[in-house]
Amino acid sequence: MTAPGKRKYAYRDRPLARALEPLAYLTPFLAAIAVFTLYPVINVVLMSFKEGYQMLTGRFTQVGMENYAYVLRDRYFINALQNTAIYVAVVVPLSTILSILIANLLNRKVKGMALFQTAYFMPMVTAVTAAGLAWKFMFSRDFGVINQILSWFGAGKINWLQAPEWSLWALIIYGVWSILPFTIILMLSGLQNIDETHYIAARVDGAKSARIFFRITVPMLAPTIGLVLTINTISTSKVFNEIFPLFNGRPGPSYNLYTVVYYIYDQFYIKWKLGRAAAAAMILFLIIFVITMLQQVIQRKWSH
Amino acid sequence: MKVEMRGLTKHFGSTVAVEDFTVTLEDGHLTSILGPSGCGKSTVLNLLAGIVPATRGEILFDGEAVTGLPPELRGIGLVFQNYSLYPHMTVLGNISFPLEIKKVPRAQREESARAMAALVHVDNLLHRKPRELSGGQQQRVAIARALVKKPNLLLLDEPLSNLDARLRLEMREEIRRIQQETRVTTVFVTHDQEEAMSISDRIVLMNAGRLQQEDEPQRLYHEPRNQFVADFLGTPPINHLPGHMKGGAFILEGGQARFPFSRGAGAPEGRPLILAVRAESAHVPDPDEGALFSASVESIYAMGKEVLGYFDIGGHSFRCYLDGDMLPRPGTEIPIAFRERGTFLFDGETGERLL
Repeated sequence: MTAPGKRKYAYRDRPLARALEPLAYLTPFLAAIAVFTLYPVINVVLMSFKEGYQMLTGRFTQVGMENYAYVLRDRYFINALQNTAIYVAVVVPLSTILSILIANLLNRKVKGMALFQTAYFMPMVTAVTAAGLAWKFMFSRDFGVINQILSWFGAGKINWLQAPEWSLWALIIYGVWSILPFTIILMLSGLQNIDETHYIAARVDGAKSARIFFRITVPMLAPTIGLVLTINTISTSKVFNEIFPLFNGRPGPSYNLYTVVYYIYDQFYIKWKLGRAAAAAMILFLIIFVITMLQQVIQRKWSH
Repeated sequence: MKVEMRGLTKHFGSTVAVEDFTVTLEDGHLTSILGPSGCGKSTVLNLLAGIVPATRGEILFDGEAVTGLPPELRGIGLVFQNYSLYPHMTVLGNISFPLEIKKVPRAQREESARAMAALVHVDNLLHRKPRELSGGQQQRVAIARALVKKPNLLLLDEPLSNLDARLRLEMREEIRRIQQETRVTTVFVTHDQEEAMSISDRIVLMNAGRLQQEDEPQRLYHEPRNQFVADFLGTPPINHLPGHMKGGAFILEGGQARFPFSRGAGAPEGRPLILAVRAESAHVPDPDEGALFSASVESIYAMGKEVLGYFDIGGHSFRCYLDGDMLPRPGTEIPIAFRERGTFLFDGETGERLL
């Protein structure tokens, strides 16, 4: 202890200093998190309870539940919840099923597969707005390729983007298209983790493709499917970007296609009702949180 | 089931995996296909299973050609190196899955699966998932899964490679026991000569896609047909002394040593030859026996029951076992003689056995 060589390390004998040392190293990182993540989140929570809040002055009339009460009574918000719920409920399962099928095809060793892979991953490298414009043309009532294809099967012309009853479906189709590549990548990586000998073993025992797919591929892909469901539920709940290019920057042809995030955007940037925007964001957060927790519980039961 | 392979050939593009392979496996035998990695032994197994199609040649099961038959019609059971159990199924589910595919009623297939589990001693683990099992237990389950549909041919692809040394010993005895109880014709692919020697009725030794020799393990060891066979079998590896015959004596390369080798009389003179001597076939002779040559001691490893010596003979390294109570010091010279058994003469160019 008294050896001269050890003196400069003496602080190591002080428990407080020893406990604080790692903290000192972490400080820059923690500070960044605090400023860029923690502060905004806390601010939104607080903002949602402040009534008559003015962001520039920071003043507010009182603290209470008025913002929540308003939002939950607002028919545009209720409509936004419905639209978002339908969007999530259709896009998530549809994109999951499609991605499993497509990934399964892409996982085969066939000549020219690189071309297909490029084609399927195209949406990922295309700007949402640019692709949205392309889709706008494809959805066009008179010149769009979608109606043209449908006409081969004898279907009448659908006014995808102008008819309120079809606009949500146009959004859903576009949503599935844009979410597919990322989902396929996840599924592909899941598939590639399945050792080929499992398939060989089943084939030697005489299993046909369908049985192999449902009894081996899908169960062994279950962890990936669970991950995809969780990630896609969260990301589709926040549907927003996709709306602008398709409907000229409006929430649907007759303001019928509000989604929750679009509603938040509208309250915040257009109407300047920050408290209501924050309250809507909190409600969306709670809903996603509950759904994700439920998913986790179900998946845990399912995988055992 | 008797398995015949005639002129079996498999090319992958320009790569030759198996070339003109002709071997017959007798019914009820356990045959090892042995060889270094990349020798084509696994390809032979895959050809037998029907997983890869043959380029040329024929496969006959009990006299019937199955060369073009898909795997599921061949009546084979397959066990993989990594076991390949289905991780989402229990042990019982795994073992009964082949019967599920065959649409055997549930009660019946579970009964068969239980019987098979009992045979391989995993009947107390039926409701576990594969990840809850040790490597040896997983391999037992994989064997049960392969046997449950009563295959005519059991194919094991390096089944012990993923196990630790202790389990490997235990499992190879188990595989032997299971094979003897079921009498199923079995092909066991391995690169481990000791494994093949201890377990097999017959060994098929391959190199570079070609059959080298097919025989009983002991005969393969004692009567190798060529230098590759002699080199591949045996621990420590067989010794090589390059040289040629002159006047009935073997002249060691470099000319420093000349051995009056009586059996060498018939060997062609002038050609490059390899005198191959197993480590246990060289010994220090009694004084009246007469030494063949003298060797300088490089190092000595005492390993309990035996002592392994490293020597230098005319510039060539040489290993042989010594009597347990003899520990010569490095640098000294000792006399060494060969026994007839375990001493071979190979052609230095073709590797063919001459004597």
